[in-house]
Amino acid sequence: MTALTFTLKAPPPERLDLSSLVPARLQRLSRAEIERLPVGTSRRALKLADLFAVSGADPVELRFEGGSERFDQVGAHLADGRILVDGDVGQRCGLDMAGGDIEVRGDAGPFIGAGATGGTLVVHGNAAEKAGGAVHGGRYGLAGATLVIRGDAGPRAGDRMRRGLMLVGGATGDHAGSRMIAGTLIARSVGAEPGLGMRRGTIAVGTHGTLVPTFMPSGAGDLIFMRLLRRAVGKHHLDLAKMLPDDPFRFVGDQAALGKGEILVCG
Amino acid sequence: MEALRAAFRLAQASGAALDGSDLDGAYSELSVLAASGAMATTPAEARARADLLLLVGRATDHAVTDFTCAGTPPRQAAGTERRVIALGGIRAGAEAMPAPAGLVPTLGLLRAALASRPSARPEHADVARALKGARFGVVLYDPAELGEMGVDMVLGLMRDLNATTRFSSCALVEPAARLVVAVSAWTLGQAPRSGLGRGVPEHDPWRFNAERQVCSGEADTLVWVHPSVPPPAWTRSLPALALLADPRGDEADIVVAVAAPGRDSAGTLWDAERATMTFRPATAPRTDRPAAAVILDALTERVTMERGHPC
Amino acid sequence: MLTLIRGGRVIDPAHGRDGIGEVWVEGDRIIAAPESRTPDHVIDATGMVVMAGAIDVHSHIAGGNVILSRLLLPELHVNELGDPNRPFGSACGSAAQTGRLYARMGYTTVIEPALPPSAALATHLELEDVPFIDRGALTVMGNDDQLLALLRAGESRTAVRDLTAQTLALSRGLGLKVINAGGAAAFKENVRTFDLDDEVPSYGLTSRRILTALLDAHEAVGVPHPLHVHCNNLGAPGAFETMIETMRTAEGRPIHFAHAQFYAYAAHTAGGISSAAETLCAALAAHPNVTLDVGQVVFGQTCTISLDILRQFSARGAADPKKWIIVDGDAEGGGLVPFNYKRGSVFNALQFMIGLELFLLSPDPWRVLLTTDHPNGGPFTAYPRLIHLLMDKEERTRELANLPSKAVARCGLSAIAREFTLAEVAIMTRAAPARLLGLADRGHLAPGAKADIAIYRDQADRTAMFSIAALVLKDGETIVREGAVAAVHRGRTLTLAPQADAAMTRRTETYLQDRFGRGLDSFRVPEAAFARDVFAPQPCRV
Ligand SMILES: [Zn+2]
Repeated sequence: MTALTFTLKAPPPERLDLSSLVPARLQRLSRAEIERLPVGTSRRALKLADLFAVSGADPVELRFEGGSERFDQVGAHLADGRILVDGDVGQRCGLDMAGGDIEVRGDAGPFIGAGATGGTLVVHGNAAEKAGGAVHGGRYGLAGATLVIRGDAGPRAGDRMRRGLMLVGGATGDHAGSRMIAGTLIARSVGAEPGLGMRRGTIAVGTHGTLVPTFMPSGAGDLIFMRLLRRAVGKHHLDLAKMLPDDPFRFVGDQAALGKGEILVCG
Repeated sequence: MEALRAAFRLAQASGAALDGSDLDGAYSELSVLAASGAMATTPAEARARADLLLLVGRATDHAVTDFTCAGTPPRQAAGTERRVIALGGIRAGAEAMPAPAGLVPTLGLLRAALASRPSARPEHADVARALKGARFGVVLYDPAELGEMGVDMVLGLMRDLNATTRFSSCALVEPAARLVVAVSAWTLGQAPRSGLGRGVPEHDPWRFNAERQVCSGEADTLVWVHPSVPPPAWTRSLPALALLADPRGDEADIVVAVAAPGRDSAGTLWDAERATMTFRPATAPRTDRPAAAVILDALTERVTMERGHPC
Repeated sequence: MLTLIRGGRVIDPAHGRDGIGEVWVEGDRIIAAPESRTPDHVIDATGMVVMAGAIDVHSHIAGGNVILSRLLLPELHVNELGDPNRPFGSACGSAAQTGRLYARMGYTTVIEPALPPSAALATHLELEDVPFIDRGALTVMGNDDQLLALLRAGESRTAVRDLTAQTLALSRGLGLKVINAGGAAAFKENVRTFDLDDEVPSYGLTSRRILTALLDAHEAVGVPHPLHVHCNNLGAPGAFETMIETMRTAEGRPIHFAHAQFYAYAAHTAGGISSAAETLCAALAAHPNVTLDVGQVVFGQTCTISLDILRQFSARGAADPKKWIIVDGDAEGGGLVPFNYKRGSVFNALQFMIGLELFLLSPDPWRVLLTTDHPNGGPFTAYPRLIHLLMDKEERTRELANLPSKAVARCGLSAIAREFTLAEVAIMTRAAPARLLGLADRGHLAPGAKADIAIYRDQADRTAMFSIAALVLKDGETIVREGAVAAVHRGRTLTLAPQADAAMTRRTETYLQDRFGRGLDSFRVPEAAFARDVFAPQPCRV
């Protein structure tokens, strides 16, 4: 069976809520029912077929031909299956997802992977603010899933992250890993004040902006941990894996909070 | 109050999105509140009880701070004398505490000092002792200045201090923002950055940030309701109606002069010092200006008629 | 318009009525069956039960703390899409939804039990936006500096009475409430536990002294509703002793205990709690001046909301999700601690069973009222299910089978065979709360009563029966039909209007100016602030 494919007919006139387009939901619906799914967010009450041509059949593998920064909640609550977007996505991609794979060939809006407990998210382009960060009122940012951003990420990447692995091939904005509860965030470079308010967890970076004074230098990192980390990262991003040395320089903090987190500088 | 209620009715009838005119500070506070809670007090209680006031940044120079610092605290614990510390600012009668590392990192250093963590700085020992020794301390801060992470730091400091003593905080937020947040909470069950496009309220501070919606072309019309603040420059890119108390006339495509509550007409407003609503009679009553609510309700009636279903 | 409701089983325990009969309504009142008039409108209630509109004496539906609970837990109030016709009415957690959900269960009067005098206007404006039902609010005193300073100075009973009357009138309360008397004031001085005979440091006043002063003042002002008391030590093992000691303190004066379930805990020898419901019910039997509402626990997620900031601060560790708010207000302030009552928890299961035990062991249904202390024990929407459990022993047995056996063993509930009758349900939810609030024209169906009437389809599934009323009349108007809104109705807010003493008014003006830099005008709740004629003043006792 070929992937169930949604081909964008024209740029969307408003933000779309695509959270209903997940295998668990689509498996129970006929083609006609799928085409009638509401995806609009305004009083226009847009239906799927107003914007997309539907083709293919396999509801476990979904494909969006064309994307938009107005594609919100792509793959939200995904439990299994695969979603590929050949284009950009809007905010909250993979929100609270528990499993499966999402691949975005373009850029992602804010809050990608917020609350995601399992599965893998890959963004080929850049991600906006709070990638792997928490939404308003959400308990956690990334919470066990794997989030790979090949380009850059905005500010507050990994905010309130609780578990899982987040990789940024390029640079993040300021306050990467803010209020991290646990988990691992690795980036080629991060902006100013990484790890602000972090309790536990690991941030590994090639270069970094200003550190807050509540991070303290504490010598070299742990060799065994670094080897394990390299292996885990290598599965998703070879360049970042190569960046990780056996003996990075380690800062511990944020001592404004619990202070049991670490920033590993791999320069 | 009546203008706000009417604005919510219009949003409901037309499927619009809502935002406050200046909620960035309020949302810095709200997002931390929704993430980890808060410890807060009223300026009136701080004025009456606080034996230690920590003024952060812009809070050193603010009308609510003047109110809080005024007079002798009648209910301060016996045998204590009020100490006022200005962090990263200067104020007559207050000890200046410099913040060369920045306000938020310095608050972090204070937290480290309170917990005797290695990054604590000796120059903060005295202030840390004072914070710990306060009987009822209050920190005043401007969430618009500190941002979400700064608010998080202030409120984290509150949790740290209250393990052993009493301490609370006052966020200096625009009175109009406080009022709209309260009315929105009971009208929608949510804070104001909400949309009614799908009929039921959806709260999403990113999606329904009005400036973002206008600048991204997602909005096609704007109604601006604020007696004393003209619409900002970013509203000029789309058709707009502005209800203003003292308009020049060129602030938007359509400008209607409306009564200023508390001045031209009586009205319920937010009292920043008392941290609640209060009813203000007109100071210079005039009847030639319609209430904003009247204009908004007329629009609601028209929209409802044209959309053809009741609200 | 003349309306006849006929063919239904009319249950009006205030007048000993229980049987098939008629109820006649004209305008907004129930009238005696007219001699020779034909009704304009006949409601056929065959197979249905006709009761007065229900009344809730204790439900946190408005005010600054309720607002904060929405802001603390936005994730609890996310709307399911799909009901776009009445957005505010279906807006989860909104005032409009509160009114609608009460109305469809046949509730027509609800009391917000925590009206802080310094934020009275804001609370009343929010109450105004709760549609369908009539509202009232209880003015909170007992931690405010003006009262405590007056007591510390040893001023006369008259002065305390005058201040109480003044505060009630200014805030437009329907009754007087005291919450952990002195506890919030003590907490602000870093006191972390506070019992009846502990002192508020700067004032040298015990909680008992403050409570006694308010009991005296309450009686002298002639407030119809007994002093509404939230005791010290809420939630603590052994708290039942505090409540019983507080009963003694009342010395025969009328007193109402809020959410008694949260006090009916004995310390168990093996740790944790066991039920003290039997002991409390015995004390209730011995003190005929005492009434209580239960504050029943319901399993699931909620947010506890209380002005007892000392207690809420100490409960912060149990917050689920891990976030909480403490506001040190002008007097009490407020504490918000989210909580998830779990079936699998021995403690929570005991709380659930102890509540039911209090109802079932109660010596008198007129004195033990149905509340969940919404939202503290759980949402008011659980009332139909709770009524079902009280009316049906088998249903209780099924429920207990899902609870930890260790909890079941620490509580006498499984051995209780009692089943409430419909008449007892009508007492507990209609006649008794009306009598308790001093509202003579509601809670019953005799001529002259307000035409607030709930009609339910009589069915064995009492949960279904009481969840969705077949028909609800408010002030004679049909507002709910088969659970759906038939007409939007704007209720009134019930208040007292005690006479304020001119000298006390002047003193208060001076006090407020000094404390707040504002006078009485700033605190008032003027009619002009309301879009409609909203207040319905009730007489004080003379
Ligand atoms: Zn209560």
